[in-house]
Amino acid sequence: MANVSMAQFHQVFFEESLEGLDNMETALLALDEGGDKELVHTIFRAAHSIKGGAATFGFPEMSAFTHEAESLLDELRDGRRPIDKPIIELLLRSVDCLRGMFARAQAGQPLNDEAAEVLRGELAAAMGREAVTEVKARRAGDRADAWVVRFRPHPGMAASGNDPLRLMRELKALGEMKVTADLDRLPALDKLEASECHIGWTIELRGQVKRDTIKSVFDWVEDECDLSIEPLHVVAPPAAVEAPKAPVTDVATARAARDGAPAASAESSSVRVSIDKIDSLIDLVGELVITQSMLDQFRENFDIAKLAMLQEGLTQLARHTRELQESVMGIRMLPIGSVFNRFPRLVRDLSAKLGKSVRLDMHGEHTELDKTVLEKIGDPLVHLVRNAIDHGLEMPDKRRAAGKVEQGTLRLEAFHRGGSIVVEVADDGAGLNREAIVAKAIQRGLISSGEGMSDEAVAELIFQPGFSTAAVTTDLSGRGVGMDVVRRNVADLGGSVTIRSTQGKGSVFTITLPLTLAIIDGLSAAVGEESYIVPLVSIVESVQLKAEAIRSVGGGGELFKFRGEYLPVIRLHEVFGCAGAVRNIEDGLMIVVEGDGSRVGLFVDGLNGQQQAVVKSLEANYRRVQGVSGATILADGSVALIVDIAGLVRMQSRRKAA
Amino acid sequence: MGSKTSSRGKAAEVAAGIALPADCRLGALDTLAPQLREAAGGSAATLDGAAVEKVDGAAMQLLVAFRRAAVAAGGSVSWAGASDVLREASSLLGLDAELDLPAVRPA
Repeated sequence: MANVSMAQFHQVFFEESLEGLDNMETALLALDEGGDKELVHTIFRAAHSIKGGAATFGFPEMSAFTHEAESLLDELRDGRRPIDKPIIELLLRSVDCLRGMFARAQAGQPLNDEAAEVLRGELAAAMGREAVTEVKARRAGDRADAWVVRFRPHPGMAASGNDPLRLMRELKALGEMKVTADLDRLPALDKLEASECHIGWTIELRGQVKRDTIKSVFDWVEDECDLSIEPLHVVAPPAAVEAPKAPVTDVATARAARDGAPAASAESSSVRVSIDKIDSLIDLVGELVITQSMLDQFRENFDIAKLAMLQEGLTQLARHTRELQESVMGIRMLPIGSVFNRFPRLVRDLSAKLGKSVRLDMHGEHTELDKTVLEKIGDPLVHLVRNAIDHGLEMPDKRRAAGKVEQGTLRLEAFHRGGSIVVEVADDGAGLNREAIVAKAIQRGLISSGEGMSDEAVAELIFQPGFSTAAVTTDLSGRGVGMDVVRRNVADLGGSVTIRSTQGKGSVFTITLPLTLAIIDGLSAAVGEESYIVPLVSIVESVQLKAEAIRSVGGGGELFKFRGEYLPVIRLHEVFGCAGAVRNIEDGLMIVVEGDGSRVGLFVDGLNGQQQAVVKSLEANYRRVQGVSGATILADGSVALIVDIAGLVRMQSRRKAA
Repeated sequence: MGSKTSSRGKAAEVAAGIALPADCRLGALDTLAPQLREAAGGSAATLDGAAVEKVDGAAMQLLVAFRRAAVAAGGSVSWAGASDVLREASSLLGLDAELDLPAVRPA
């Protein structure tokens, strides 16, 4: 029972601790840059909370590991040890190691691995406990005055002559024992095969016993059961313990079999909301209630003299509803800083690995983004940053030769522009190498020659699948999965990626993202009896065409001339099979839209007007439909489908290819 | 049904009485299990464990399953007796609450 009630707090503990680790990392990096010594206190506090939490929630390995880090931090805090690069490096690795432990804890796997053991030894060694560290680190978990033994025989154990009762008798000889049987897996009597074991046991064993002694009881059945032996209370090891040479044996392999162990699938996501946001929501709801009661009085006795008041009330209602909507959306909004936070470390490690000197310049960390967008933008950004350091910025000697400062600058910036969020990744490196890109594109058969291609068109080539020009394929980037994946991931979020590059001066990658995925601004278009929503961000212009502007081409396609280029026509009523739609070009309207990098004309009957559409997933409620990204409910209660422009363009080009 | 002669010979006084053999281990379960399955359907069953001299985990597991099945079928299970060996096994395996053996062997 106690296990179950603890398990429900695990998720919160994990989230808070991971946040604590992020803070530790940020502070360590700041220290590395020569930051304030006060930062050590921040780091110490974070480590201390994690240690305490780990012990409370039953993760002794994690607690023991953090204890070593905390001791080291304590020495730094008291000034007993200078803060230098190797120490910071060691602590950064400890942060990584703890993250790994949390990941394993969430997946219900054993927490310790070889790397963690080694690192714990290193931490102790750093504190000058070389001779005993390894032993201490290992023995700390090996001596206790009370143990929890979790033992679950595999069904076939008894049949091979090993009786659980005998094992219990031997355990009993070691100390005072409290046994709890787990009968959850015991089949019904008529299904029970008498020779199979289906009972598991949790045994609390009190007495000064070594782990190895307990383990030796189970020596004969090691392969026929799940077994974990964990100290109930850790006792300090005697000062001088002899170092056993035996390798570390990991006995705690049966975590997954434990009662109440968090299942990997039980992961839930949550948002932490500042109390200010919640208060403003409550205020708004209060306003809404007042407006409602004000409107309510018109129901009883309304005469035309009160019309002005009614109108005012309705205006208020509209305003409060809009504000409420914005506030509720705001709850899902989180600062992009949580994504940016990982970059100082990434840049530091990467530049060290590549022998480049890089200064990271971050702006706009407080810019807020929808949580869903935020979660998915991390990977594309990491890719861009890696690319910028690996391919964009030059080696120091090259930079010197080019008359630049040796240290390259990588700028990461987020800001609002219109109804979108813009994230820029800029470097002052060599810029895109036009010749190399053209040569590669010719080699890959993407183009036949680069002549007459604009710089923009050449830059676009790097977004082609499988394109990579790095002279040497490193483990950082250059594996051929690259910019096309970045573009696709961003497009999935309803955003776009563009590149601006000047040879010798650097490149700027610009990611434009919608503020939220839950509401889009759209233009409602009539097609036959139905309405379709065209996302406003995709619309270039809408035009009324003369019949002679349309050219028919082979295969049933149609083109029209728009600002000097011929664009394909997509008749929405044909794509979606709408009855009673306008067929004559002159009677309808052509909406020029841009998606997936190209422009097309959507032919519709006419426009109903602009409106905000709350996106309802079609996939979740029905199934995926080509050319449609979702649905929305209109003011009159009818359903309108939201047109997926990129999808339509892809459908069109497939038709062309066929 | 099929009650065997127990060491105390009192099995006849209940509807379904089963005496556990002296060697109540895996090898005996092929005989014991069918008896228990049949008895689990009845309204009241009495087990006599007074003669048990040897027992193992498999037998204890079977007894637990039997008791659960009988109770689930709306019946009841009582003990006509239990040997020290049986009681020790029940305690070692943490099954006291489940098996509810008589604390002291009845006279």
